[in-house]
Amino acid sequence: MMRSSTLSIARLALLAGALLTMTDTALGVSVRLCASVAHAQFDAFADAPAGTEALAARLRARHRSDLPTAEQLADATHGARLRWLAEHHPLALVRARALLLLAAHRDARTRALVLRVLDSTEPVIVRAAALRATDGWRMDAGLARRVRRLADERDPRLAEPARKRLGRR
Amino acid sequence: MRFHHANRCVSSLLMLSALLGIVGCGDSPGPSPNPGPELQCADGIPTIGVAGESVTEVYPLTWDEEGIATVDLRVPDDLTALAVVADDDDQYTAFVGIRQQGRQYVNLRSDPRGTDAPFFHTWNLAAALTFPVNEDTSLAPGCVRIRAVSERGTVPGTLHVSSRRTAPGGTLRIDLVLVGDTTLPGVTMEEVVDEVSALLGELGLAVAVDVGVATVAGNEFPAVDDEGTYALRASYVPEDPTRIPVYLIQGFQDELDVLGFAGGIPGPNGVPGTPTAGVIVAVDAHLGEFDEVSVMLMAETVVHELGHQLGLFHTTESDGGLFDPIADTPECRPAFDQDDDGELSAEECEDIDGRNVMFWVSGSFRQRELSEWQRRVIELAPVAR
Repeated sequence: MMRSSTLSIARLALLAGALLTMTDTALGVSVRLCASVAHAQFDAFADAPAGTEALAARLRARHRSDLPTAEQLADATHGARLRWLAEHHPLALVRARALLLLAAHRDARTRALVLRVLDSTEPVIVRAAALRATDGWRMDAGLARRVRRLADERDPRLAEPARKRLGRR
Repeated sequence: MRFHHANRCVSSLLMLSALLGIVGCGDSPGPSPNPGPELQCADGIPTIGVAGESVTEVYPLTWDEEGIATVDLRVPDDLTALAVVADDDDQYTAFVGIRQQGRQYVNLRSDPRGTDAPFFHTWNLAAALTFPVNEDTSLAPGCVRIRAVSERGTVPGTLHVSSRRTAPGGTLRIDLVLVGDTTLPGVTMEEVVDEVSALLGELGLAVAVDVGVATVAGNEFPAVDDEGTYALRASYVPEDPTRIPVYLIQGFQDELDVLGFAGGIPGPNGVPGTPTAGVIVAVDAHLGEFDEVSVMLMAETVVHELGHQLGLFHTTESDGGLFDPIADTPECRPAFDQDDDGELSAEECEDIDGRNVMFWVSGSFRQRELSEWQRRVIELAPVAR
């Protein structure tokens, strides 16, 4: 299972900050003030590597063409930020984008994270992003077992790339 | 010799790039002041529209050996807005030029890639243009020469001319169209409708909003920019052609992390059944905590893409070097890039345009603002009747 209680707390803190902003806005309180309050009370990025919050903002781009490239984020510092976002961000979109951008990282921590996601009950777009992150990996027994399982999924976003990876039609 | 066929693929890619946010907007919002030779229109050319009404009229596009068709129309004194669509079945089309005496609004020959403000016009499937797009692009009374081009141009096409000869207002009609077996995890369609309606209400538009619901059979996992996507957008043909479809799919097969995109900037509104009619939004890209749809984020995507479909560009592009062609929208300049990462987040631009629904990136707060002229572009849309 992907989600530890720690992960959920981090995501909940981010969500709670957003909800507070929404509620206070509805009550007519200054949105500027409530954003500050939300940030102070729910500093969900507190345990994240420095710079992660700014990277999260970039990964919320409305259009893919505005996203940074994997090559731009190929250094170890960005790798740590991306791993944190892939696990903790409350939006599946940001988790998926972080995983897609981790394709340029081949270290053991990234590999372990990607495999955990593949074994998890994460939404399809997140698991499918993890599968894509393995594109450059050697197909060892552990990965092959996971890819075979994904090839049997009903959702084509998982099944089709998995079958292609296995050389199946 | 056919017109610019070699450029068509490049141009269509650029058009897609524009829709996905690559091509931004410059600082020169006016049409060209150097229109070329004097414009001579024949007596008896049709007058656009009907006084006091918003209507859509059609004219045949008879292509010449270059694949170009010309239609001259008379702009009446009371015309407040115009939208034109060059439809040639499933072919790429564009407007080679739109001219009035003393003004050249679009010139595809000098700007084949559509990089010139304020229209950024280039090839698209059922290419469209709308007037005005900003403070300086209302058509003047008198003759207007519309020249369209088609990739194929072997059989007559159709020029759809939607006009408004009334003050801004009316009702903007939108249908959320659930595709195939698409589901909305954790929320109901009613909740999505309510949130989209509420968001449109918060924008302060001087038009009523009618958000309906429909379903179509089809693939809930289309690929981005393939025949399936075009077929999907052509598949919903409401009895009322002014309804703008917003197709809700589960997700894109090839691009997992696309939130959604419009058919054009603007799209061929009022001409259902064309390959770029309507907006597509991917449900799964909006999953939040507990793997449920974030209705707030999805509503903002729907309205952001509707803004593109109705002719609005991003207020500020990612690096703060490009802006929309509307003078009254705030512009967030690179000086606001507090973390110096080369990109302007919604948070960094919060006091400028970070809360504008057409900002390039979503934020950690609501984005539910429009400038007065952004609202005007929507309120003048001839499909708002």
